[in-house]
Amino acid sequence: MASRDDIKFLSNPNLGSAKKKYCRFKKFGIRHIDYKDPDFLAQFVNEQGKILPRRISGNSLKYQKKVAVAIKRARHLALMPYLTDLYK
Amino acid sequence: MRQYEVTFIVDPVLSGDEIKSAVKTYNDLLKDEGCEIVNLDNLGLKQLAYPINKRNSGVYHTIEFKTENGLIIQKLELSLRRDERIMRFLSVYLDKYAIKFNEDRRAGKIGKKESVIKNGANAKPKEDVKAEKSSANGKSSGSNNKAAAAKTPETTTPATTKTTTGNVTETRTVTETRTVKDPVVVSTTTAAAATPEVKASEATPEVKAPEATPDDLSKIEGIGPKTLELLNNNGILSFEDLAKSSQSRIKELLTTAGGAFATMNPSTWSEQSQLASEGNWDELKALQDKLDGGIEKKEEE
Repeated sequence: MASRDDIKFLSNPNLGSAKKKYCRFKKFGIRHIDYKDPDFLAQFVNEQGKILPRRISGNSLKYQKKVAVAIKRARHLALMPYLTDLYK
Repeated sequence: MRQYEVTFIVDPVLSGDEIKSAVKTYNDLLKDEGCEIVNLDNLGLKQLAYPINKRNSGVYHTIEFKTENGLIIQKLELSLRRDERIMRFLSVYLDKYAIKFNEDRRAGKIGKKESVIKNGANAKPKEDVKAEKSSANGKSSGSNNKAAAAKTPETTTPATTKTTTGNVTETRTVTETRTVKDPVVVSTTTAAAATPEVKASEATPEVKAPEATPDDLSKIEGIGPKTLELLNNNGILSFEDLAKSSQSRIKELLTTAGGAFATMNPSTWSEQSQLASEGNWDELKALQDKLDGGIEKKEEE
Protein backbone atom coordinates (compact mmCIF):
# COMPACT_ATOMS: atom_id res chain seq x y z
CA MET A 1 0.00 0.00 0.00
CA ALA A 2 1.46 3.34 -1.00
CA SER A 3 2.08 5.80 1.82
CA ARG A 4 0.35 9.17 1.81
CA ASP A 5 3.39 10.91 0.35
CA ASP A 6 3.51 8.62 -2.66
CA ILE A 7 0.04 9.43 -3.88
CA LYS A 8 0.13 12.30 -6.27
CA PHE A 9 -2.98 13.93 -7.61
CA LEU A 10 -3.38 15.67 -10.86
CA SER A 11 -5.50 18.36 -9.31
CA ASN A 12 -5.55 19.49 -5.73
CA PRO A 13 -8.17 17.42 -3.90
CA ASN A 14 -8.55 20.29 -1.45
CA LEU A 15 -9.94 22.47 -4.18
CA GLY A 16 -13.07 24.16 -2.99
CA SER A 17 -12.31 23.87 0.69
CA ALA A 18 -10.27 27.07 0.63
CA LYS A 19 -11.06 29.70 3.25
CA LYS A 20 -14.31 31.48 2.64
CA LYS A 21 -13.56 35.06 1.61
CA TYR A 22 -15.92 37.72 2.83
CA CYS A 23 -16.32 41.45 2.75
CA ARG A 24 -15.07 42.66 6.10
CA PHE A 25 -17.17 45.80 5.88
CA LYS A 26 -20.40 43.94 5.37
CA LYS A 27 -19.54 41.41 8.03
CA PHE A 28 -18.68 43.87 10.75
CA GLY A 29 -21.15 46.54 9.72
CA ILE A 30 -18.58 49.19 8.95
CA ARG A 31 -20.15 51.91 6.89
CA HIS A 32 -17.50 54.57 6.51
CA ILE A 33 -13.90 54.29 5.54
CA ASP A 34 -11.66 57.04 6.78
CA TYR A 35 -9.16 58.34 4.25
CA LYS A 36 -7.04 59.84 7.01
CA ASP A 37 -6.00 56.44 8.29
CA PRO A 38 -3.18 55.04 6.15
CA ASP A 39 -2.52 52.10 8.47
CA PHE A 40 -5.97 50.70 7.91
CA LEU A 41 -5.88 51.38 4.19
CA ALA A 42 -2.52 49.66 3.91
CA GLN A 43 -4.38 46.35 4.14
CA PHE A 44 -5.90 46.98 0.73
CA VAL A 45 -2.72 47.90 -0.98
CA ASN A 46 0.19 45.74 -2.15
CA GLU A 47 3.90 46.24 -1.44
CA GLN A 48 4.20 48.70 -4.27
CA GLY A 49 1.34 50.76 -2.96
CA LYS A 50 -1.06 49.64 -5.67
CA ILE A 51 -4.68 49.02 -4.80
CA LEU A 52 -5.47 45.31 -4.54
CA PRO A 53 -8.18 43.90 -6.79
CA ARG A 54 -11.49 42.86 -5.33
CA ARG A 55 -10.88 39.19 -5.90
CA ILE A 56 -7.87 39.37 -3.63
CA SER A 57 -9.15 41.68 -0.94
CA GLY A 58 -12.54 39.99 -0.83
CA ASN A 59 -14.48 43.25 -0.64
CA SER A 60 -17.92 43.69 -2.07
CA LEU A 61 -18.20 46.08 -4.98
CA LYS A 62 -19.71 48.88 -2.95
CA TYR A 63 -16.95 48.87 -0.38
CA GLN A 64 -14.19 48.24 -2.85
CA LYS A 65 -15.14 51.50 -4.52
CA LYS A 66 -15.18 53.31 -1.20
CA VAL A 67 -11.82 51.89 -0.31
CA ALA A 68 -10.45 52.98 -3.67
CA VAL A 69 -11.76 56.50 -3.18
CA ALA A 70 -10.29 56.65 0.31
CA ILE A 71 -6.91 55.45 -0.90
CA LYS A 72 -6.88 57.98 -3.69
CA ARG A 73 -7.72 60.76 -1.26
CA ALA A 74 -4.97 59.58 1.07
CA ARG A 75 -2.57 59.61 -1.84
CA HIS A 76 -3.53 63.18 -2.71
CA LEU A 77 -2.85 64.20 0.87
CA ALA A 78 0.51 62.41 0.84
CA LEU A 79 -0.62 60.03 3.56
CA MET A 80 0.03 57.16 1.20
CA PRO A 81 2.40 56.98 -1.74
CA TYR A 82 1.37 56.64 -5.33
CA LEU A 83 4.15 54.22 -5.98
CA THR A 84 6.98 52.80 -3.91
CA ASP A 85 8.89 49.65 -3.22
CA LEU A 86 8.60 47.63 -0.05
CA TYR A 87 5.73 49.67 1.23
CA LYS A 88 4.95 47.20 3.96
CA MET B 1 -27.25 71.49 7.00
CA ARG B 2 -24.40 70.16 5.02
CA GLN B 3 -21.35 68.98 6.83
CA TYR B 4 -17.89 69.21 5.33
CA GLU B 5 -14.38 68.37 6.36
CA VAL B 6 -11.36 70.16 5.00
CA THR B 7 -7.90 68.77 5.60
CA PHE B 8 -4.89 70.85 4.71
CA ILE B 9 -1.14 70.59 5.03
CA VAL B 10 0.75 73.58 6.31
CA ASP B 11 4.36 74.22 5.42
CA PRO B 12 6.51 72.87 8.27
CA VAL B 13 9.29 75.44 7.94
CA LEU B 14 7.03 78.11 9.35
CA SER B 15 7.22 78.95 13.01
CA GLY B 16 4.62 77.57 15.36
CA ASP B 17 2.92 80.94 15.57
CA GLU B 18 2.69 81.30 11.83
CA ILE B 19 1.17 77.85 11.52
CA LYS B 20 -1.34 78.66 14.22
CA SER B 21 -2.25 81.90 12.52
CA ALA B 22 -2.67 80.10 9.21
CA VAL B 23 -5.16 77.75 10.78
CA LYS B 24 -6.84 80.64 12.50
CA THR B 25 -7.39 82.54 9.26
CA TYR B 26 -9.41 79.65 7.87
CA ASN B 27 -11.23 79.15 11.08
CA ASP B 28 -12.22 82.80 11.06
CA LEU B 29 -13.09 82.74 7.40
CA LEU B 30 -15.57 80.00 8.01
CA LYS B 31 -17.00 81.58 11.13
CA ASP B 32 -17.50 84.91 9.39
CA GLU B 33 -19.47 83.24 6.67
CA GLY B 34 -21.76 81.81 9.28
CA CYS B 35 -20.52 78.23 9.42
CA GLU B 36 -20.74 76.23 12.57
CA ILE B 37 -17.36 74.71 13.34
CA VAL B 38 -17.84 71.20 14.62
CA ASN B 39 -14.26 70.20 15.20
CA LEU B 40 -10.70 71.41 14.78
CA ASP B 41 -8.04 68.78 14.66
CA ASN B 42 -4.31 69.00 14.59
CA LEU B 43 -2.84 65.79 13.28
CA GLY B 44 0.59 67.22 13.82
CA LEU B 45 3.81 67.04 11.90
CA LYS B 46 3.89 64.01 9.64
CA GLN B 47 6.24 62.63 7.08
CA LEU B 48 4.86 62.96 3.60
CA ALA B 49 4.67 59.85 1.47
CA TYR B 50 6.31 61.80 -1.35
CA PRO B 51 7.90 65.23 -1.46
CA ILE B 52 5.64 68.20 -2.08
CA ASN B 53 7.23 71.50 -3.02
CA LYS B 54 10.58 69.97 -2.13
CA ARG B 55 9.48 69.36 1.45
CA ASN B 56 9.29 65.96 3.09
CA SER B 57 7.03 66.69 6.02
CA GLY B 58 4.05 68.83 6.83
CA VAL B 59 1.68 69.85 9.57
CA TYR B 60 -1.78 68.40 9.02
CA HIS B 61 -4.89 70.21 10.18
CA THR B 62 -8.52 69.33 9.83
CA ILE B 63 -11.58 71.49 10.17
CA GLU B 64 -15.03 69.99 10.29
CA PHE B 65 -17.90 72.41 9.84
CA LYS B 66 -21.56 72.74 9.00
CA THR B 67 -23.19 75.14 6.57
CA GLU B 68 -26.52 75.80 5.04
CA ASN B 69 -25.39 75.35 1.46
CA GLY B 70 -22.11 74.60 -0.23
CA LEU B 71 -21.26 78.02 -1.61
CA ILE B 72 -18.62 78.67 1.02
CA ILE B 73 -16.54 75.79 -0.28
CA GLN B 74 -15.58 77.64 -3.43
CA LYS B 75 -14.43 80.61 -1.43
CA LEU B 76 -12.58 78.46 1.03
CA GLU B 77 -10.77 76.50 -1.64
CA LEU B 78 -9.84 79.63 -3.52
CA SER B 79 -8.20 81.14 -0.49
CA LEU B 80 -6.47 77.86 0.36
CA ARG B 81 -5.10 77.72 -3.12
CA ARG B 82 -3.82 81.26 -2.97
CA ASP B 83 -2.23 80.89 0.44
CA GLU B 84 1.45 80.12 0.13
CA ARG B 85 1.62 78.58 3.56
CA ILE B 86 -0.70 75.77 2.56
CA MET B 87 0.85 72.97 0.55
CA ARG B 88 -2.17 70.77 -0.11
CA PHE B 89 -5.80 70.68 0.84
CA LEU B 90 -8.77 68.45 0.39
CA SER B 91 -12.39 69.28 1.17
CA VAL B 92 -14.85 66.49 1.52
CA TYR B 93 -18.60 66.35 1.89
CA LEU B 94 -19.52 64.11 4.83
CA ASP B 95 -22.47 61.77 4.44
CA LYS B 96 -24.38 60.53 7.45
CA TYR B 97 -22.07 57.58 8.00
CA ALA B 98 -19.04 59.79 7.88
CA ILE B 99 -20.59 62.17 10.39
CA LYS B 100 -21.38 59.31 12.70
CA PHE B 101 -17.90 57.91 12.31
CA ASN B 102 -16.32 61.21 13.22
CA GLU B 103 -18.56 61.58 16.23
CA ASP B 104 -17.74 58.12 17.42
CA ARG B 105 -14.07 58.73 16.99
CA ARG B 106 -14.27 61.89 19.06
CA ALA B 107 -16.19 60.01 21.72
CA GLY B 108 -13.44 57.42 21.75
CA LYS B 109 -15.68 54.58 20.70
CA ILE B 110 -13.47 53.53 17.83
CA GLY B 111 -10.69 51.41 19.18
CA LYS B 112 -12.57 49.56 21.89
CA LYS B 113 -11.97 46.27 20.17
CA GLU B 114 -11.68 43.97 23.13
CA SER B 115 -14.75 45.35 24.80
CA VAL B 116 -16.75 44.21 21.81
CA ILE B 117 -15.50 40.67 22.10
CA LYS B 118 -15.91 40.33 25.81
CA ASN B 119 -19.17 42.05 26.28
CA GLY B 120 -21.33 40.83 23.49
CA ALA B 121 -22.71 42.20 20.31
CA ASN B 122 -24.39 45.34 21.48
CA ALA B 123 -21.20 47.35 21.38
CA LYS B 124 -20.28 49.24 18.24
CA PRO B 125 -19.23 46.65 15.69
CA LYS B 126 -17.08 49.21 13.92
CA GLU B 127 -14.30 48.82 16.40
CA ASP B 128 -13.72 45.22 15.49
CA VAL B 129 -11.65 46.13 12.52
CA LYS B 130 -10.99 49.76 13.18
CA ALA B 131 -9.33 49.05 16.48
CA GLU B 132 -5.89 48.34 15.29
CA LYS B 133 -5.79 51.05 12.79
CA SER B 134 -7.12 53.63 15.11
CA SER B 135 -4.06 53.34 17.29
CA ALA B 136 -2.48 55.43 14.59
CA ASN B 137 -5.24 57.99 14.92
CA GLY B 138 -4.97 58.00 18.65
CA LYS B 139 -6.69 61.37 18.70
CA SER B 140 -9.69 60.14 20.67
CA SER B 141 -8.97 61.31 24.14
CA GLY B 142 -11.19 58.59 25.51
CA SER B 143 -9.15 55.67 24.39
CA ASN B 144 -5.94 57.42 25.33
CA ASN B 145 -7.21 58.03 28.81
CA LYS B 146 -8.12 54.42 29.20
CA ALA B 147 -4.81 53.24 27.89
CA ALA B 148 -3.01 55.51 30.29
CA ALA B 149 -5.16 54.46 33.20
CA ALA B 150 -4.71 50.79 32.53
CA LYS B 151 -1.01 50.99 31.90
CA THR B 152 -0.03 52.55 35.20
CA PRO B 153 -0.71 49.52 37.37
CA GLU B 154 0.59 47.20 34.72
CA THR B 155 4.16 48.32 34.75
CA THR B 156 5.43 45.09 33.31
CA THR B 157 3.20 45.34 30.25
CA PRO B 158 5.38 44.87 27.20
CA ALA B 159 5.99 48.26 25.68
CA THR B 160 3.90 48.63 22.58
CA THR B 161 2.18 51.52 20.95
CA LYS B 162 -0.97 49.53 20.36
CA THR B 163 -3.81 50.86 22.40
CA THR B 164 -5.46 47.46 22.22
CA THR B 165 -2.99 46.05 24.71
CA GLY B 166 -3.98 48.66 27.22
CA ASN B 167 -7.59 48.09 26.42
CA VAL B 168 -7.39 44.36 26.88
CA THR B 169 -6.04 44.49 30.37
CA GLU B 170 -8.48 47.19 31.25
CA THR B 171 -11.42 45.31 29.87
CA ARG B 172 -10.31 42.08 31.45
CA THR B 173 -10.30 43.77 34.81
CA VAL B 174 -13.77 45.07 34.26
CA THR B 175 -15.16 41.74 33.21
CA GLU B 176 -13.74 40.12 36.28
CA THR B 177 -15.84 42.46 38.34
CA ARG B 178 -18.70 41.97 35.96
CA THR B 179 -21.32 41.56 38.63
CA VAL B 180 -20.74 45.11 39.76
CA LYS B 181 -20.58 46.99 36.48
CA ASP B 182 -22.02 45.25 33.50
CA PRO B 183 -22.92 47.65 30.70
CA VAL B 184 -20.35 50.27 31.59
CA VAL B 185 -17.56 49.10 29.36
CA VAL B 186 -19.79 48.99 26.34
CA SER B 187 -21.19 52.47 26.60
CA THR B 188 -19.10 55.56 27.20
CA THR B 189 -15.67 56.61 28.13
CA THR B 190 -16.38 59.25 30.76
CA ALA B 191 -18.31 56.97 33.06
CA ALA B 192 -15.97 54.07 32.64
CA ALA B 193 -12.84 56.14 32.94
CA ALA B 194 -13.13 56.14 36.71
CA THR B 195 -13.71 52.43 37.12
CA PRO B 196 -10.69 50.98 35.34
CA GLU B 197 -8.34 52.88 37.57
CA VAL B 198 -9.95 51.35 40.63
CA LYS B 199 -10.55 47.88 39.26
CA ALA B 200 -7.24 47.63 37.56
CA SER B 201 -5.32 47.89 40.79
CA GLU B 202 -7.63 45.35 42.43
CA ALA B 203 -7.39 42.88 39.65
CA THR B 204 -3.68 43.26 38.92
CA PRO B 205 -2.68 39.92 40.44
CA GLU B 206 -5.42 38.18 38.46
CA VAL B 207 -4.25 39.43 35.13
CA LYS B 208 -1.53 37.10 34.08
CA ALA B 209 -1.09 37.65 30.36
CA PRO B 210 1.36 40.56 30.15
CA GLU B 211 3.38 39.61 33.19
CA ALA B 212 4.23 35.97 32.58
CA THR B 213 7.06 35.26 30.21
CA PRO B 214 5.51 33.74 27.12
CA ASP B 215 7.05 31.11 24.92
CA ASP B 216 8.24 32.29 21.61
CA LEU B 217 5.13 31.40 19.68
CA SER B 218 6.53 33.15 16.64
CA LYS B 219 8.66 30.05 16.09
CA ILE B 220 5.53 28.59 14.61
CA GLU B 221 5.24 29.21 10.92
CA GLY B 222 2.26 31.40 10.31
CA ILE B 223 2.58 33.30 13.58
CA GLY B 224 4.32 36.64 13.36
CA PRO B 225 4.83 39.32 16.02
CA LYS B 226 1.32 40.72 15.71
CA THR B 227 -0.40 37.38 15.92
CA LEU B 228 1.87 36.51 18.81
CA GLU B 229 0.61 39.51 20.67
CA LEU B 230 -2.99 38.74 19.90
CA LEU B 231 -2.58 35.21 21.23
CA ASN B 232 -0.75 36.38 24.34
CA ASN B 233 -3.45 38.89 25.07
CA ASN B 234 -5.99 36.13 24.95
CA GLY B 235 -4.17 33.94 27.38
CA ILE B 236 -2.32 31.70 24.99
CA LEU B 237 1.23 32.01 26.17
CA SER B 238 3.06 28.76 25.76
CA PHE B 239 3.23 26.13 23.09
CA GLU B 240 1.16 23.92 25.36
CA ASP B 241 -1.61 26.47 25.53
CA LEU B 242 -1.72 26.74 21.77
CA ALA B 243 -1.68 23.00 21.33
CA LYS B 244 -4.53 22.61 23.79
CA SER B 245 -6.66 25.38 22.28
CA SER B 246 -9.16 24.02 19.87
CA GLN B 247 -9.14 24.94 16.21
CA SER B 248 -12.49 26.65 16.54
CA ARG B 249 -11.35 28.76 19.49
CA ILE B 250 -8.33 30.05 17.60
CA LYS B 251 -10.42 30.74 14.53
CA GLU B 252 -12.91 32.59 16.67
CA LEU B 253 -10.18 34.74 18.17
CA LEU B 254 -8.81 35.58 14.77
CA THR B 255 -12.16 36.40 13.27
CA THR B 256 -13.22 38.66 16.11
CA ALA B 257 -9.84 40.33 16.03
CA GLY B 258 -10.72 41.15 12.50
CA GLY B 259 -8.62 42.84 9.90
CA ALA B 260 -5.64 40.95 8.69
CA PHE B 261 -6.09 38.35 11.40
CA ALA B 262 -9.35 37.14 10.00
CA THR B 263 -7.65 36.01 6.83
CA MET B 264 -5.13 33.79 8.57
CA ASN B 265 -5.29 30.04 8.45
CA PRO B 266 -4.43 28.44 11.79
CA SER B 267 -4.98 24.86 10.66
CA THR B 268 -1.48 23.65 11.33
CA TRP B 269 -0.71 25.72 14.39
CA SER B 270 -1.80 23.17 16.96
CA GLU B 271 0.20 20.48 15.26
CA GLN B 272 3.30 22.63 15.18
CA SER B 273 2.87 23.76 18.75
CA GLN B 274 2.42 20.20 19.88
CA LEU B 275 5.81 19.35 18.49
CA ALA B 276 7.28 22.52 19.92
CA SER B 277 5.95 21.89 23.41
CA GLU B 278 7.45 18.43 23.36
CA GLY B 279 10.74 19.96 22.35
CA ASN B 280 10.70 18.04 19.08
CA TRP B 281 12.52 20.70 17.10
CA ASP B 282 13.74 18.40 14.34
CA GLU B 283 10.30 17.15 13.52
CA LEU B 284 8.96 20.65 13.73
CA LYS B 285 11.51 21.84 11.25
CA ALA B 286 10.65 19.00 8.90
CA LEU B 287 6.98 19.90 9.16
CA GLN B 288 7.70 23.56 8.53
CA ASP B 289 9.69 22.74 5.45
CA LYS B 290 6.59 21.13 4.05
CA LEU B 291 4.38 24.04 4.99
CA ASP B 292 4.18 27.26 3.08
CA GLY B 293 3.36 30.13 5.37
CA GLY B 294 1.87 27.65 7.80
CA ILE B 295 -0.56 26.11 5.37
CA GLU B 296 -0.19 22.56 4.24
CA LYS B 297 -0.16 22.18 0.52
CA LYS B 298 -0.81 18.86 -1.10
CA GLU B 299 1.95 17.62 -3.33
CA GLU B 300 1.08 18.07 -6.95
CA GLU B 301 2.81 16.69 -9.90
